[in-house]
Amino acid sequence: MIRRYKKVAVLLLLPIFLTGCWDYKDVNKRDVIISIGVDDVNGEVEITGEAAKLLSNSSQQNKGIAQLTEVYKYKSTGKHFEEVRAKYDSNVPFPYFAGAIRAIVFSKKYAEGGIRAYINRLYHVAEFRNSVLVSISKESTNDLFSHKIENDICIGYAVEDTIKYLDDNGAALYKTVQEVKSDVQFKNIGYLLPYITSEENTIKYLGLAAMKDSKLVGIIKREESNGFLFVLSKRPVMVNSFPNPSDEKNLIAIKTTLGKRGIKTNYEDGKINIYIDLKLKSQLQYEYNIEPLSKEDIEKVENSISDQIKENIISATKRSQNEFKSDVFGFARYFKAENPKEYKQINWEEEYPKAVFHVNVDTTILNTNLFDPNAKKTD
Amino acid sequence: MEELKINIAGMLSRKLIIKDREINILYIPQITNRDSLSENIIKPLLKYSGEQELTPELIMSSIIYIDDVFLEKDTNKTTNYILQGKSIIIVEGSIGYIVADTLKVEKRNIQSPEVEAAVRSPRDAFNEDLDSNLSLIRHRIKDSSLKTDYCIAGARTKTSVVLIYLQDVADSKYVKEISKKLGELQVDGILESGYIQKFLSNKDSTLFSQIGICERSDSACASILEGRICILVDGSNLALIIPKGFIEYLDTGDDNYDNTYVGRFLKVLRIFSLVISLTLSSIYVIVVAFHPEFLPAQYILVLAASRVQVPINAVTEALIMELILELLREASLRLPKQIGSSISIVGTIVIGQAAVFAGIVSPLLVIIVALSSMASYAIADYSFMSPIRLLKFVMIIFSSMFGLFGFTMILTIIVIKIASISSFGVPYTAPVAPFNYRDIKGFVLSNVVENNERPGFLNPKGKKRKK
Repeated sequence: MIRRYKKVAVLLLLPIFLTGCWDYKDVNKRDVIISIGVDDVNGEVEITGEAAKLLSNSSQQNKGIAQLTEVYKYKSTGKHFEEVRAKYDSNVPFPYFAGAIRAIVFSKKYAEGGIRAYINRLYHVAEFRNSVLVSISKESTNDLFSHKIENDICIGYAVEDTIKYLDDNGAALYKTVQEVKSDVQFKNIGYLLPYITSEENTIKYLGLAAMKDSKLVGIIKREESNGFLFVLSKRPVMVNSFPNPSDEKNLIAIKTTLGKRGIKTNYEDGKINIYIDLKLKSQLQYEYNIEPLSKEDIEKVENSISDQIKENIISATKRSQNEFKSDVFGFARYFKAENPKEYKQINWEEEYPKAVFHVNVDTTILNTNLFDPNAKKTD
Repeated sequence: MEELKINIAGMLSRKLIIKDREINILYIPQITNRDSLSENIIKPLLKYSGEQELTPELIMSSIIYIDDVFLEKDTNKTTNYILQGKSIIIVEGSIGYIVADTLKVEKRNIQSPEVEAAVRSPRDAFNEDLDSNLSLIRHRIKDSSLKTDYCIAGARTKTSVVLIYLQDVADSKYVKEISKKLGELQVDGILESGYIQKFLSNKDSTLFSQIGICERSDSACASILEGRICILVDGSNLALIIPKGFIEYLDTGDDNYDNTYVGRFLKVLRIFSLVISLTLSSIYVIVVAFHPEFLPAQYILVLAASRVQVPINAVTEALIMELILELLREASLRLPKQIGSSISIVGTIVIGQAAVFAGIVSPLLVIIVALSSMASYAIADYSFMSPIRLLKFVMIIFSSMFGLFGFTMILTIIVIKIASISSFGVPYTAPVAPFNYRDIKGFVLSNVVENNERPGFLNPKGKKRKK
């Protein structure tokens, strides 16, 4: 009997080493955390954020009917994260559950002092998810989480949904804990995080925060972030209007997306060369005053799009070299892969501000439905 | 004769004296067609005015009208014949006796199927009369090679059991094996084909049914044409189909009659329903109690909010709900039809509304349990789903003890167990494992035009369905 069921018994005993009844905890008996904010207040770490308020007044009235979730703000301070956590745990009834965290927000003040320690905590403590969005807020996190949000469930959701939507449309960068950790581990490079604020009961995306050694070194306004996005974003989009070459007052609305991006590097005569080659696809959306466009006009428009984006990228790279003094684009990854020997010999952080950029942008307007079909014939 | 009268209670004897010869007719009135006995045996005998001397041979060949009649000399068999509803004609001074078939048993008419319901299929289901059932099959398959092997099972009930198969198609290995097992069968009575099913099943794997049950004569014929063996048992309205594999339970028969694409879609749907009915409740337990991080953040919140009012933990909640549902199923099955509908009303109100409002269970669990129960009805053969319903409880219990790992382990053990069963030498999971592309294609196609081969794993003598 024992011999017969030996294999089954072994199979069933194995999981005991992995999990068991002692891990059993119903989801409604857990403290569901939705967002975490990290701040520095008078030299102490302050962690605020939102936790789900499952037993809300309204759900008691409508028993059993699933409610739109309500949240409450928590706050805890201490000298270090462990103390903060111990203080926090001492006044909640249920165990901490980090599986539903939507956003991690660092205050600008805290980010200036460096976020590496908390990133390491998030990455190495098993209960946290690594695929959570990291962002930086203009105000203190206590202020941020004190606001009411009108267009989403709560602040955590609003931060994540806003950045996610903008990232999908090429207007922002969505950076997760593990991506930040990977940049931190690479050393010598910086990274960009979304920069947000709370305004009129909504979350507003302000631009990008440039990080060097995990410390905030500069803010890139949303209007100026085009050059960064066309190098870093998965699918950057620029919607802009350009004057019609034949009639300067007439504007043409154009949506430009990335077709192909090539980044190459080499090391010649003691200098780093970085070649950025972009192939863009543009779509004519409409003209403010619909007039025929000739082939020459189209070419001119294509050139002006290329010029603008080229200019944006060059100014972005200049800012990274002069203002931030940090490779926030992560060009070092390309360089290390292509020139491993040289990478070992040089100090990237010192050499990067001297790097020479060669930017080449080529734009093609794909649709021709705004062409005048007769324009060709008369030409 | 005196001895017979003592042995067989209720036997009647009718004495006739014709040309100074005493003729005795023995029969049991309850199982005898007495009109036929009077008209076809007694009347012609009394009217006999011929010259020749009365002998059993003469009576058989020239006097009585009855169709099924023969001469028997073995006096030991007399009791059996009388008990089987035959009439015995004994002529004074002769060695042998005449056995005439005058059996008449009250029977149900041919009715619509109740166990094996379908939209598009013939409505003639088997009833409890062996001859009627045989006539339904013979009517559908007019082939000279359709063999019907009779045997008697049950020491006291002496029930007729018939093996029906196509001699030039079915693998003779199964026929021999089944006949051998039926011959070895030792029991006092066979009351339903379920008895035979139990005797024929493998002893070490009785949880999953390896023998199909079949109520509709058309699906029995379809199985016979594929090279399977159909067993009819006198007094049972369910025929047995041997061998029947795991995936064949997912085929309802009318898949082949109706729109082909719908048939294929429904097969996939049934596979899903099988998985759902086995695992959904235990997945609920795992997600709620062990790994809520499985779900996207918003679902976690909704799940937590829906459970806030519930005082009991998720496992107890799931077990209670599943038990209530099984209770309802059993109760509505046993209740007379007239009051059966009231149970469903009570059940709906109790489970659907009151339990949620009373805060005993969460509304999500009601949906899950209802879904898993509904899914268990999607498979035509209820005998296949019964073990799944039992295993569902095992899954919940192990999932509650070991979380996702326990769930995976128990699911693996179930799959291993299923894969190691063989039904009369045919692997239970054929044609999936061992894999056979052609058979799987045939199963999925469910179209007699596109698929003209018999399943290869049944090892039929003729592979093509053309002849």
